[in-house]
Amino acid sequence: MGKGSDAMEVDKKEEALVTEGGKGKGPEKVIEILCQNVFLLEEAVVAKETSLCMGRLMRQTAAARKRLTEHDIVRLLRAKIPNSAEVEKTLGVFLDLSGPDENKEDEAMETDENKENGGAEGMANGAAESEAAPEEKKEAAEAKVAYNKPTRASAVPECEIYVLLLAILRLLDAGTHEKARELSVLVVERLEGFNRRTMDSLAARVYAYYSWSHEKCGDEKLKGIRSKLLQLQRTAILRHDEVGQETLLNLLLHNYLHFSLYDHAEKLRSKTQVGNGQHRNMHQFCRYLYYVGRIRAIQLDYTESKEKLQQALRKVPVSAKGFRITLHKWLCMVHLLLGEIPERTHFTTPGMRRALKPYFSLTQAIRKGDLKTFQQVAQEHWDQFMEDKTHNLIVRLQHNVIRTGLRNISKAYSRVSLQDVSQMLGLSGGVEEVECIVAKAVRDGAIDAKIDHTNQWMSTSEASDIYSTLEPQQAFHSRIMFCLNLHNEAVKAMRYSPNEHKDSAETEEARKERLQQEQELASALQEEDEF
Amino acid sequence: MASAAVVKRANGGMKKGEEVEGQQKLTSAQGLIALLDEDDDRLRACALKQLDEVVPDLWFEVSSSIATIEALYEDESFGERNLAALLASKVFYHLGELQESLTYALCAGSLFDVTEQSDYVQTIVGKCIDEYMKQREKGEISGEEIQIDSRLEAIVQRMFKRCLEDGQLEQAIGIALDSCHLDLLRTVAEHGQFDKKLLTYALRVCQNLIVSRKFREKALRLMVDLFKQLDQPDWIVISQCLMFLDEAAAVAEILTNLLGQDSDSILLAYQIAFDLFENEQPQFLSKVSDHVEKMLKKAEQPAETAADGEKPAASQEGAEPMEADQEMTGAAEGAAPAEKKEKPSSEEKESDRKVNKLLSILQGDAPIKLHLEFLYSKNRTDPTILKNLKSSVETRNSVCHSAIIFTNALMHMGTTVDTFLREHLDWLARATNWAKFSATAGLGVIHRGQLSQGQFLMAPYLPSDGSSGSPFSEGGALYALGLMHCDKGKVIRDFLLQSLRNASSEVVQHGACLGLGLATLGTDDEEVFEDLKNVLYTDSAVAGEAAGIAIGLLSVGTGSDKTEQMLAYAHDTQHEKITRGLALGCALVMYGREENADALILQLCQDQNPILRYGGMFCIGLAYSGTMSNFAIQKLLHFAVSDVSDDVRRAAVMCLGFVMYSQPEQCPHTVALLSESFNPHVRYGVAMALGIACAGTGMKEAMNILQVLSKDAIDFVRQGALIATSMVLLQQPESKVSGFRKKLDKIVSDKHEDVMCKMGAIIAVGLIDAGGRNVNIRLRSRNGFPRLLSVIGMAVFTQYWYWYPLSYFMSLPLTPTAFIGLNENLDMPKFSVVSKCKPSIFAYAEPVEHANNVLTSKAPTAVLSTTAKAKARAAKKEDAKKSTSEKGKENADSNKMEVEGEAAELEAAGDEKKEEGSKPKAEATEEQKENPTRVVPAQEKHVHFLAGSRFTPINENAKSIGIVLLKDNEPGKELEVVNIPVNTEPPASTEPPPPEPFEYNSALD
Repeated sequence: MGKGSDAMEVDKKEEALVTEGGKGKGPEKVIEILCQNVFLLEEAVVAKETSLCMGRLMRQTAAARKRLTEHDIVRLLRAKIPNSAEVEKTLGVFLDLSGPDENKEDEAMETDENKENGGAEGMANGAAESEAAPEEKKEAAEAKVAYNKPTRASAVPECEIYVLLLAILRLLDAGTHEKARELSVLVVERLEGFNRRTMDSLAARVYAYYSWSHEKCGDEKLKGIRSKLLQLQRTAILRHDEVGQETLLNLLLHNYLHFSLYDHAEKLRSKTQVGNGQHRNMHQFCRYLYYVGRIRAIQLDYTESKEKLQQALRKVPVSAKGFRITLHKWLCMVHLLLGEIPERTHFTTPGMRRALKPYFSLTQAIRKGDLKTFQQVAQEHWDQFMEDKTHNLIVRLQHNVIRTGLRNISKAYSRVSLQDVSQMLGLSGGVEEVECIVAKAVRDGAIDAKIDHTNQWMSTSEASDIYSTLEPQQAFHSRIMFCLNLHNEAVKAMRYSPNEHKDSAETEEARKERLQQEQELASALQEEDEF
Repeated sequence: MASAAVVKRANGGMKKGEEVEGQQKLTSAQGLIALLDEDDDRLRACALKQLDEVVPDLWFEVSSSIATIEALYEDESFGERNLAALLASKVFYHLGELQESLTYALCAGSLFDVTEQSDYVQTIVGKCIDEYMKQREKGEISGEEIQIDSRLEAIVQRMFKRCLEDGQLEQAIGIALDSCHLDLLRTVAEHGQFDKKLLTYALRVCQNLIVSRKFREKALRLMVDLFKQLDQPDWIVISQCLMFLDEAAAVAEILTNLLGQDSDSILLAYQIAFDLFENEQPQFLSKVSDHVEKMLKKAEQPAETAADGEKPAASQEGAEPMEADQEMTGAAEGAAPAEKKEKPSSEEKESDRKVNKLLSILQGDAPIKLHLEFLYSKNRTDPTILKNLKSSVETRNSVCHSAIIFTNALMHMGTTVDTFLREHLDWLARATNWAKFSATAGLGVIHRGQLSQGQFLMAPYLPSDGSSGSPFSEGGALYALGLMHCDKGKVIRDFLLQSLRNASSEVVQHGACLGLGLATLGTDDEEVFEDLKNVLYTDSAVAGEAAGIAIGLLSVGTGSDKTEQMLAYAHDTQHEKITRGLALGCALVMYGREENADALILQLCQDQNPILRYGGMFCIGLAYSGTMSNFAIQKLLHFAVSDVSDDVRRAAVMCLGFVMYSQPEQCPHTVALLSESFNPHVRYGVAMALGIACAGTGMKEAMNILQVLSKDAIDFVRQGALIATSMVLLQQPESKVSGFRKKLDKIVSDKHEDVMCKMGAIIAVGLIDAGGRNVNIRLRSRNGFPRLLSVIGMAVFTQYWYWYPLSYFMSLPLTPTAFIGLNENLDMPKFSVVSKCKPSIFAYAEPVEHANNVLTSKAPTAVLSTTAKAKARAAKKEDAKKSTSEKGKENADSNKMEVEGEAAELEAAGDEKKEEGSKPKAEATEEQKENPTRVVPAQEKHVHFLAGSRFTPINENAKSIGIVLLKDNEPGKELEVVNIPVNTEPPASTEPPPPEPFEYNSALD
């Protein structure tokens, strides 16, 4: 299990923390929050605009996630879902209802409305009803009326899926991955029956947890869902479900990358056109950029890789810390492979320092060009690198270390024997090998030097004045271009609420007043003319 | 050392990964792909087979070697070509290239299994059907036989069969119609055993969803055939279809056949005739009645003389025989046979009578008379409103002045009540010149439908030999005659023609042209055309404009080649007015022609002259009126945002309303964006488009947009929005309208309001209470056909922008919202329907209680209004008492004032109920509505026929609106007939003499 995927999950949790902290108010009852969410969802479905409310919905869900219990889910199910008996039967297998239920009185109330649906559960709750104190009941009812007048069951299937999603979340949180996996399989099956665009955003979430729960259950399971994901992706494309397409493509890329199938991932990516290159969902876009960055890094296309990873880092929400750490790791690798030394601030961001420690030491080793330290560090943290799947790149880095060492040497000495170079770099091979290495470095332009074969030494040319070349200008140009692009992208990304301008329209009174003023002005001017 | 270790470990890691991959099914297709390059066919076939299995998971790998697979298919010597094709198809499907995928799927032959339940097959089959439809449609439009891939056809046929087998007949109908395959449609109908519901569905689809007119006609023809094969053919539907197909002879045959049968069939024949009349297709109706006459001539000789004796006389003599006719059945049937020498058997007399009745319906006499009676008897105009208007507007302002006169005409449209004018002759006399013209024309609107007395009523103003009246009132009177006789103008054609020839002043010519155009609407009369052309060629701006429009009216909907001459002259003339008149005329000629008008539309739209482009917009709007054609909407939207001329843009947006009125719910969101245009002309157009498309619907979305527009910064936009709002709110429940009424009141009484906006408000006041609160704008008939008169009336009305007198065309689209039940004698029996909702919801508006004083109305205090209300209530109670006590006399005294008194009483009752809502006595939840009665569109679904009553509608599906023929279930019983106390006799006897011709009060002239 890669750390990367772990990190990706983190963003959601982090978000939860932030929103919870931000609320400031006393904690609401979980069931209230959930009812609110269902209400929100219903409204969005009626307005046929679920994608906009998804963010809020998931935030609010996350706020309640910590305190969510199986009982809450069942209660919500009974209150809001019309054919709850059926769903409940399905859920009953998965949810463990033996835990203590703190808010029984609520439940008792709900059963009132759904008596016809209540099977055995209804009976059990009937008993609870008699225990519930009448005042409490009233209170709860009032509280509920306040935000969702219609206590009627919601007719939209989205709400049902939402409840199921909650159940999956709960199971995952409880650590019962196998159950979560089975349930997610059921939900995905159920989702296939719908062809509703209002379902898309919710479905995308379900797919994400579907993949996640499989991953938790081991590599074999994760591998097993690959063709299912492909099929879902095909369906999403046929139905123009853009959010689904983006999510599923990412899940597939994740799947392939998890098994280091970079070639597959790249082929799939290049053959799939996501929504005319325009991503709907920023989170998914981030993730997509990250995967592309990884693929490119493996494919030796470091420049593009760096570009993608940087873009991803810029777009990623602040709260998604785990994901940021992963991005930093990869970005650091790509920087190093490009022969650049990443800035120190990369490693000193609070909260990430520890996670990035191995990479920091690695960077230090490379900066010095010290092959020995480098190898030491690599060996020391090898397991960590394996987990990060950056080990392939580390192997490639060795070459860079030598080159940096060579550069240092060439700066220090105007002429040095190859023997000494070999010693200084700590290379084990003979002089011939060193000569080859130096020759390659010269050809690549890493150092400006000449090899004297007969005397077995390397002489360095005088460093020329870089400011007399076009290089500074090019550097400036690239920076300016970068800023301009950033600006343009920001402008493109701006969104305006559709009807805002209408409110600012002149009112009738204001118009009349203006006209009157104009008239007065005109007559005043006329008077002036007359005088 | 260490570095080597690193490398080794890395390799180890890699290997481990590979092992894991190797265990399960194939993770890479590379090996199989490599096999494709082998020489051995068996190897390649095997590779293909395996690839076919893994392609859903590894398509992205296979796709890079798609060329190899394609080559395999091309290779004729290769045995498994089909498999290669199938594989290629699947790969293309995954790549999103559905077209290619389809091609290869067809090449795969039997390997492509249609019955498979996979996404792939379903998508490809869907694509296949689409493709087939596209090709068929192309063939249908171009008229050529297009060779369609037989494999494609086979798949579609297979799907079609499956639909039939699964009983999804509606889907099958969809496939049949979309693929322009009428044989299939017939198959479906046969398969469904001519189920009536199915056929009705098919008919609706044919009417609404087929874009090409040519094909629609074909389909409808088939539908007629199919409907005829029902056990009990639905003659009403059939005749409606035939009407669309313009098959007058067939309709006439149906009608005569029905007439010859039992009494039910006769009733049905009448019902069909009334329904046909409701569709307002004057040319068609006259053709039908001609055919009916001809047919009867053949059938029985004696009848021939009867028809002969009557009809030619009508056209020659004019007024008198028509009057006899007008007096309707009773008189006509008595008179006509009486003229004859011998009428031996009563049976023949009977059949004669029936024919005459039928003809009177077809020729419009009967329905017009019924409507006139209805409007007269149910008139609920509130005179106070007019008085308030009059007092709150400065008389010196001629625009508002003539707007009020127009409003009066609208409010009293068809009611024959001209008391307001008569009471305010001095005030009226302020109308001079063209305002006088308009005012006189207004009389025509008020007396609309009084076919027999038209000339008599207008006599004081008409040009006569001796006296030389003002040309303005003379012209106006001629125009009024036209409005009065609109499309039933045989009687006055000659008179108008004569007046036109005699006219020396261009004002009189103007009036005569318009009048003549209206009177000879759609007749395509050559003689009239020549005369109008002569007027046109005098190149007088005023007369020429009218002549241009008149030519359009004369040939409306014929699509005749007169447009060439019109267009040529429109280019020649220097007068913008004439050009505009001709441009509009061209548009009228093309009314409802759809594709046939495309050539002219193109020509007009590409013209350099913006006025002709303006005409082009109307041409699109009218030619495609009510079709929801995408082509038309696209074109209009294009011009609405891209033309350089404001007029053209305005017209383009406005005409969207004409194209979209068949599905009003589509209109608001189409124009919503345009309503935010920076260009006020476009915004005005939006308002009018909504008014036209959503007229009488009270649609909320439309109201939202109009609400914003009615606060616009530009005066004429507000004007348009107000007029449009009142069109939309026409005949809506009072609870919706009252706010708007208040707003109008405020605008009219506001001194600082712009004149343009004020004028809009005044017209809106008139519209919302038009026709004594008994009329609605209905641009299409209940059967979904566009109504010619209404549509063109609306189109010409919008020209008021340039020429106020044209606003009087608004009277054309206003149609009574009546329920009138008739028995076989075309009498109204005493009969009632029940409305299952609170009476107050759809009640008439309460009368305005107090004349708002202009001075005090500026700051009315709350105290004042409540006391006023209290007073009014007291007064009303008294009134109510009085009228109940007088009820006994009522029958004897059928004075009109009494009717109004009754109305007041009724309203007072309703009023009290509403105000005393808090009292325990709840309002009744249903009410009995006596025949004839007003049934507003929203009320329609609440109104039902009483089960088990003596009379039941002949058409069991009949809605309780419009003219409905009733079957008498107890024929023996004595019949009570509603006698409407209308006085359609010449006004000389009962009514006071016509108003003093105010033109003599010429101090201001």
